[in-house]
Order: sequence, then C-alpha cells, then structure tokens
Amino acid sequence: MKISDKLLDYLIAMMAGVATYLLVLVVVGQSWNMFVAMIVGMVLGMVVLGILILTFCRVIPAFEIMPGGMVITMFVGMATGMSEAMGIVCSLTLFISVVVFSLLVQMRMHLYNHQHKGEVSGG
Amino acid sequence: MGNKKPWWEKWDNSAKSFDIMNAGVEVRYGDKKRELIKKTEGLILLAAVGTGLDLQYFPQNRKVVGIDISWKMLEKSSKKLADNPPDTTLVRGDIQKLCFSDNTFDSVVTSCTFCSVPDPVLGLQELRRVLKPGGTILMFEHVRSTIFWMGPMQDFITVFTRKFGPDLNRDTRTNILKAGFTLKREENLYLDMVKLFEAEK
Ligand SMILES: C[S@@+](CC[C@H](N)C(=O)[O-])C[C@H]1O[C@@H](n2cnc3c(N)ncnc32)[C@H](O)[C@@H]1O
Repeated sequence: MKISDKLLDYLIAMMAGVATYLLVLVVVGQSWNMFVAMIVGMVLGMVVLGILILTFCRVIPAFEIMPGGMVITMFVGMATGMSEAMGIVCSLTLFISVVVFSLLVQMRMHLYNHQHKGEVSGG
Repeated sequence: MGNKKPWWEKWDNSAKSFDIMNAGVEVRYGDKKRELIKKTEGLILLAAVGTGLDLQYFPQNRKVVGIDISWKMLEKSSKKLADNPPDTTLVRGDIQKLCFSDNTFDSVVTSCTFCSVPDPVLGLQELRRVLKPGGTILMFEHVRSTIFWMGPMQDFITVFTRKFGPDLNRDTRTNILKAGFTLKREENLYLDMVKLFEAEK
C-alpha cells in the first residue's frame, strides 16, 4: 500500500471522528435523555459516514471507507451524545479522545489488512 | 394488479452516477485488474460489463463480449468503445440465463459482478456452461469478511445497500465451488473482503 494511500485513510478516519463529534455537539443538548442522545448520536454518525463516502469515493472505494468508518462514527456519535447529555466530560478531553480513537481504529484496519492480504492457501 | 418494477431497475438508476461512485475502485485496484485481465485468452466474456470501466484493462488484441442486464449501463459502456478499446461486442442479457451455446468462450472475466447477480450460483453455473473445458474464469469481487465483527456488520448494511445496489455479504468462494469450478487461486487484496479468484472448468 502506498504511503499516500495510508495517509489518506488516516485523514478520512480523523475527519469521520471529528465531524461526528462536532455535529453531535451542535445537535444534542444538555437536557436530553441519555438514551435518546445516544441513538441520535449514532444516526448522526451514519450521516457523516454517508457524506464522507460520497465525497471520497473518487479516490477510495466505498467498501474500504465503510468498515472502519462505521466503527468510528457509531462509537463517537454514541459517546459524544451520551456525555453531552450528561454534561460530564470536558470538551477538550473528549475531542482528544475522539482523534486518538479514530486513528487507533484506522491503525487496526491497516493491521487487519496486513494480516489478511495476499495469497489464500488452499485456493 | 401492481406494475411490478423489474429487479434490474436499480442498476438502470445507478448507471448515471456509477463511474464517479466507483472511481476509487479503479484508483486503488486498477493495476491488479489489469494484471488479472492480461491472463485472458481467445474469445472472452466480460460479465457484467456495467458502464465499461474494465474495458480499459484489456490488451488491444483481445476479442470481448460484454454482457449486462441494464440498458442504461450498456448505453454508457457503448460510449467508452470510442476510446480505443479492444474488439468488443455488447449484448443485453441475464447472466443467470445466457443466450450463448455451451463451450463458447475461452475466458470469462467478472468484476464486482457476483455481489449483484440475484442468484450467484445459477449465474456461475451458466458462466461455466458457456466456458470451454479447461477455460478460466477470472474474478475481482468483494465478499463477506470472516473478521468476527465485520461479517455481521456487512449483513446489516446489505439490508439497505441491496435496495439500490450490491449485496456486501456474498460468500463467493463457496458459490464458485458449488457451481462446479475448480478453484486454482485466491488472493486477498483488501482484508479478506476484496479478492481475486481464478477458477477452471
Ligand atoms: C456493481 S456493477 C459492476 C459493473 C462492472 N463489472 C464494473 O466493475 O464496473 C454490477 C453490474 O452487474 C449487472 N448485473 C447484475 N445482475 C445481472 C444479471 N443477472 N445479468 C447481467 N448483468 C447483471 C448490473 O446491471 C451492473 O451493471
């Protein structure tokens, strides 16, 4: 895999996390029921993922963006929605966690790829 | 009495945006497709041709028959024939019920086809029928992953994607074997989700 492809994967992963985080902050309020906030957060994450796929499908196949992107946007949407409703986590801490989480998920995807790529024995 | 829409209407609908939506596949896997298609010989069946994105990978001296169920897809691929393609004939037809006689083709190429054909085993059996004995089917396909969380996720997403496009959770390896082919080679290109298969009649 080319370095530029890898960097693009990380960039998109980070954008997925950060965009979901920001969108959920804008939409979900402190007075929300925690369960509703969690579900809305996940749905908003899916919306962000859809937009990213449409934006980047010219350079990366949708089926490559989807698996890692879905994990990132769902978890970030859920966690941001819940913590926003509870008002318990400081925004900066959450923001940094979102960035780190997104990059770690992408790193895991690259690791999965490294493990699976190549000739399949018994083929 | 409802006027039931044909099952392939979704492919007519996606023809317009297909090239843009799939440009990334060509960027990342174009070289692999070219390498695979170089292995073809004689008379080749390209099933399904779609908008003709794969025609660019065929060496000039090949003779190709491109089949697709969607008129709109074929319309778009016919426009690409002006861009210096191999000798190509386009045919409208169903891979599950081919209009060719037994043992007609020397090679068959598929590319993101068996995520789309409604009955993949039937489709593969038909491709096997029209392939000459000893002929090869070369496939670039995305399939269901065996990674413990990814397969179920693909099952879930497929509930939605199959309404306007492909299934993401096909077990193409098993389908190839069920159709009676001998699997010669399998290569994972991305995770265990995007694969090349080479199989023989
Ligand atoms: C995902 S697209 C892939 C197109 C092309 N191979 C490519 O990679 O650019 C799937 C194609 O299969 C065609 N298709 C689906 N079922 C078919 C069938 N039973 N017979 C013929 N074509 C079919 C669709 O019309 C569509 O063009």
